[in-house]
Amino acid sequence: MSAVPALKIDNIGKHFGGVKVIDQLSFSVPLGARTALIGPNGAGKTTVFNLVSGVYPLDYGSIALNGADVTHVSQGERIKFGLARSFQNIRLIAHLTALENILLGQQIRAGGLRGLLYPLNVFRRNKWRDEARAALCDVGLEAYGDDMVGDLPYGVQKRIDLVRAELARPKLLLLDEPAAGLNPTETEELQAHLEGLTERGITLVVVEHDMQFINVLCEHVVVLNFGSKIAEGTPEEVRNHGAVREAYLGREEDEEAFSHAS
Amino acid sequence: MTSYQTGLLVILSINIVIAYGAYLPIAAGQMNLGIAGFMALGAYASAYVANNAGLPPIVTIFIGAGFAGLLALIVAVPILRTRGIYLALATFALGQIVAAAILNVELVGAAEGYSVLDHFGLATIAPITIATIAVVAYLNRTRFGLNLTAISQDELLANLFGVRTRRLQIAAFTLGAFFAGLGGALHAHYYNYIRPQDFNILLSIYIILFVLLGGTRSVLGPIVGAAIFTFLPEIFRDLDKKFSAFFDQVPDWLGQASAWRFAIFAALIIVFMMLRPQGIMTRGATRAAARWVAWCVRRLGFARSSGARP
Amino acid sequence: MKSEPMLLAQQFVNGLMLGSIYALVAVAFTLTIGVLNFLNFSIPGIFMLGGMFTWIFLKSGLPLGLVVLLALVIGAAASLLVERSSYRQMMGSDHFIPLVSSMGFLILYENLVLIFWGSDIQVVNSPFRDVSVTVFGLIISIPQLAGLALAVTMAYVLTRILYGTSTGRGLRAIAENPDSAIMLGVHVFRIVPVVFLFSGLFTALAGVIFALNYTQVHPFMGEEVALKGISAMVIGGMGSVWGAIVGGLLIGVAEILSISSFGSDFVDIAVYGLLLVILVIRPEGLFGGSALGRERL
Repeated sequence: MSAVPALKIDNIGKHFGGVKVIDQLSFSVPLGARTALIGPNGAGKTTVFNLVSGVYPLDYGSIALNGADVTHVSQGERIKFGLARSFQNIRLIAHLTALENILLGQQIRAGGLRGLLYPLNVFRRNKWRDEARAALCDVGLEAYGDDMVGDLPYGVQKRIDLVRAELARPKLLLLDEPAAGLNPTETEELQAHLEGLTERGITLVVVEHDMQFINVLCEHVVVLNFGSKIAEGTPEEVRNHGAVREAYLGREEDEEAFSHAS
Repeated sequence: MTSYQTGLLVILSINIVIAYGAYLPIAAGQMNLGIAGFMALGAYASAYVANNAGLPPIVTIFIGAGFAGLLALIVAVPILRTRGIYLALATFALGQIVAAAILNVELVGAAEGYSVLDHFGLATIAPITIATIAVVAYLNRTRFGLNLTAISQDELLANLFGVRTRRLQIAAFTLGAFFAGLGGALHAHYYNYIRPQDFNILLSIYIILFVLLGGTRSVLGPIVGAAIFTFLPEIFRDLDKKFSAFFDQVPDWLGQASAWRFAIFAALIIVFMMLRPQGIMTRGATRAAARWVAWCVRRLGFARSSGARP
Repeated sequence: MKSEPMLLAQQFVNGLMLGSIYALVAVAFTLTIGVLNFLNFSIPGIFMLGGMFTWIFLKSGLPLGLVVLLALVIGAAASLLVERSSYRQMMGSDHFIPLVSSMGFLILYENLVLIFWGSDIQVVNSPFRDVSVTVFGLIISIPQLAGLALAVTMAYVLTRILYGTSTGRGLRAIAENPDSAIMLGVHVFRIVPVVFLFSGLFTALAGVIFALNYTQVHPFMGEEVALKGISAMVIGGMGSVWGAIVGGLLIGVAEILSISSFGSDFVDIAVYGLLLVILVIRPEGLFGGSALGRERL
């Protein structure tokens, strides 16, 4: 891994009140890889995402995206460094249609005042809507384009959330539990879709509880516990790591997941 | 059209312009409780320029609106740092200050009121209203409108996707103030006489209420809200006389037509906020209305073409 | 003929008396804002109901004690109606909807009273009209003295309730974080009406005292007083009970003292200007303090 990492987290920390949520955490995400961020509940996985995307400021440490230090870049600017993310609890704009939610994903590419005042919905065709519709088609959701997002089923919302993030054309995509609540067929489709994203050169970081999903998808795993890294490596290496087994001990579903995968 | 009907249409037209002044910031998730203050500024500035500068009247109303927009732009940076209750109260205080300040300016008549020499009728006001509707309808169909909705629903998310949330909120607030000032200027040029106390907090409240009654998710909402607010009193006009046709004794309280209007309007607001907080015109309702209009136009066109054939 | 310092002292006392009314209204505002983050715009209407019903019941010849009691009951009921049909319905929905609904109630109450009792200014046949006490040569009217005493007493009782009882702890838990308050088992739906009840009682009481003391009532009497009450609350720091009392008294004194020297328009500009500056620069109020309210509607 001599190349510049897509994401470099260097000794960061964050506390809320008296609780150290993230403590002296460092890890790197290699370019073009699919990395999983795992750990027991409350380990600080989503907080890492929030720190990387700038939702919270860091207490100390630094974060670099593709070699550029973004520690002091505001949350609204980080997308310019090729960063996009999805959310654990889907954050779609319920009062907009599926298509309009996806249009929001293109915002960063739309340009300044001209992009802001470009008519999206005056003439029958325009490039932004066509692109958004094509992206919906790709994931088989063309039928839902003009429906209010709030009324759509969970699995569909989840896919729209992902497509929206993709249309920002990020280099690094953070996915917070993309497979949660999906049925086995949908999960398989998601896996194939995410593999397709890597082929297009997008680096992925995935927070996920479904260990089988991670074993199939990811080549690189970072394990957090109490806000610190306790292990890192291939799924195989991590699975046999003592500290990891200890961290998960007593959590039967994960034990099952481990054995199931191996 | 009788002059009475024309008068009603003028009031509706002015109310629609003002309604968009409240609609734009609300669309961005912010409540401006100082609309009346911006109206007052637009009204007085346009009236003063019209009476003294010798410019064409149509120019003076835009100068008035420009003053309102300029004040909004100046105060937006500090004021929009506040949120929620703090923002509502800060804009409320701003409106009060503008009205109280005008009350002390002898140049425009202070508490005596101020006469405006130029008069606008429906022929001038209606096109300005239509242009206002067109501008807002256009903005609603651009990323500007899309982003305002996104900000009002989930500011953090919009920001993460690169939406310049603060700039857009300032733009919506300023443009809203511009329309409020424009409405105030039209008001001044229609009534030809303005007083500071015409632009009180209650007026701001009524504007917010009828915009929310109409609905803020569609460009038609403010129009519907303004129409209800304008035409509702007509139902209650001469209520006591209507009843005297059926009853010998008509109680006094039936004669309070304007109070009935406001009471019913208030009850309507309360019930709507309980049962249908998104207002009358949702986007679904707007689509249905558009389909209905299209159908009517088709029928009409059909009838005309078939009539023209023989 | 009074000497100059005595005149000033008398005006100061009058200012305190007027301020006690503002203080009561400010406490009412601060309660719903501090605990529920809800700017209750129906408060001017409830103030007016307190004043108007004092006039109505006194006119019908009821004894004073019963008049006050009935006016307070009506004020409390009107406040609970607002809770039922605005706040309770809309918890968790669009954040300015309860505010809008409470504006609706203000307009509804004002116009209903107007419909049945007219818009004229009515003179209250107050038993205290010519009764006052003289302390060190200063004339103090009895309802105002009672108002001031009540404002301070009720603020004291309220702080004791907030910090000493389980209901109070529940209220403060809601103010800190509504969601976790629910998770911690605070009975939000039992406690929220208590807030509205207190808020309504404070407001109606201010209206009753106003009617008995200034002897003039009309359907729109609440607006001016409530605007001053809001300013008092902001100056004292939103959510702070003692801040509201101090802010109210301050505005009352400033108003009375400055009207004679500057004129009332200037006072308005100064009060609202101060309000605006505080909101933007120092939202926690002039006296710092620990405001319960946060930035939400």
